[in-house]
Amino acid sequence: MREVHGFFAACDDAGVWPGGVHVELTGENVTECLGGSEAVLGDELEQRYESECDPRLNARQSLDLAFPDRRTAPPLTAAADRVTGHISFPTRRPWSVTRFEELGPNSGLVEELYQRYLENPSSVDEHWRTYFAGETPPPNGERIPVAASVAPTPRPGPLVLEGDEPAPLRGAAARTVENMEASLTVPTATSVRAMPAKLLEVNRQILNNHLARSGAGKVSFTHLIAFAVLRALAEFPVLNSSYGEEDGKPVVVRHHHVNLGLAVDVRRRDGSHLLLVRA
Amino acid sequence: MGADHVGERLPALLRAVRDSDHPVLWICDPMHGNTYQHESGYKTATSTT
Repeated sequence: MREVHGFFAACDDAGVWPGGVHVELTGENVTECLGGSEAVLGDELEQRYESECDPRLNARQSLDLAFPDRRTAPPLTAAADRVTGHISFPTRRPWSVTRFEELGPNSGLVEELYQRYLENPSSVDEHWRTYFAGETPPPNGERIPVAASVAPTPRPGPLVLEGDEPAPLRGAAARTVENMEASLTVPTATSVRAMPAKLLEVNRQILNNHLARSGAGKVSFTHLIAFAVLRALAEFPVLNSSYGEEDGKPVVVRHHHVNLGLAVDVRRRDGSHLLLVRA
Repeated sequence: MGADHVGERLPALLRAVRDSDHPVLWICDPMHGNTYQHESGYKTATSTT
């Protein structure tokens, strides 16, 4: 943007107040202008050229202009510094760049982590560093195909933590175990239900508007779901138990600890699904 | 005005208007005067130059 720099320099020389900069821009990742820190190349113009008239800067190019990289951009003149000195730039990016669009509702979080990674790579978990470095393994290096095999896998012993008591299953519960064991050899089907989430969306927006005003982060659906799961667990603690075998006898373990992990169903570019476990 | 001309033409303009004491506000519009037709036929501009 030599013109902008020339403008500020000329204003500075003449002792004239630089009144402002007028640009056409959009928060969308269009391909209407070339270049930028995520460069749009000439043969990519046709991919998303959506302007009816003049070309606009896309989200990344707009950020490049608003927050020039001091390492590569020519230094702003005294005049420009006077102007920018009157603008309080938000410490958080005003919108999330859609680089992590494919991660769905988590994209905001991932973008936030990414910004932290850009500022200081060692401030994020090693898994995320690997991920952001353009490596293929997602966090935790876990790639679990959604369509899991129905063949029963060798079961590890019950997970018993301090304070957990394995209790033997008797009577009707023991009969249920027999039937459940038998069912492991039967092919299974996954049931998927669509639930209305309009209210969840609206409330999330209200929460995020409030958080934005107080300069805090964002709430993702993952947060809300995790919160709901934990609230439900507090109300129905019996759900926090697992099944195992001890000395060949079926036992139920009532857990006193909660370790919550949520896997997000992620659709990759090639259309396949992955369960992405966040660290 | 165009990035190629701003350095040579703008200073004289700024001084002339300043010396006339006419009240103005100068705005930079870098998206205009810097567009060109890419060989693919699209009207575009280069954001980094």
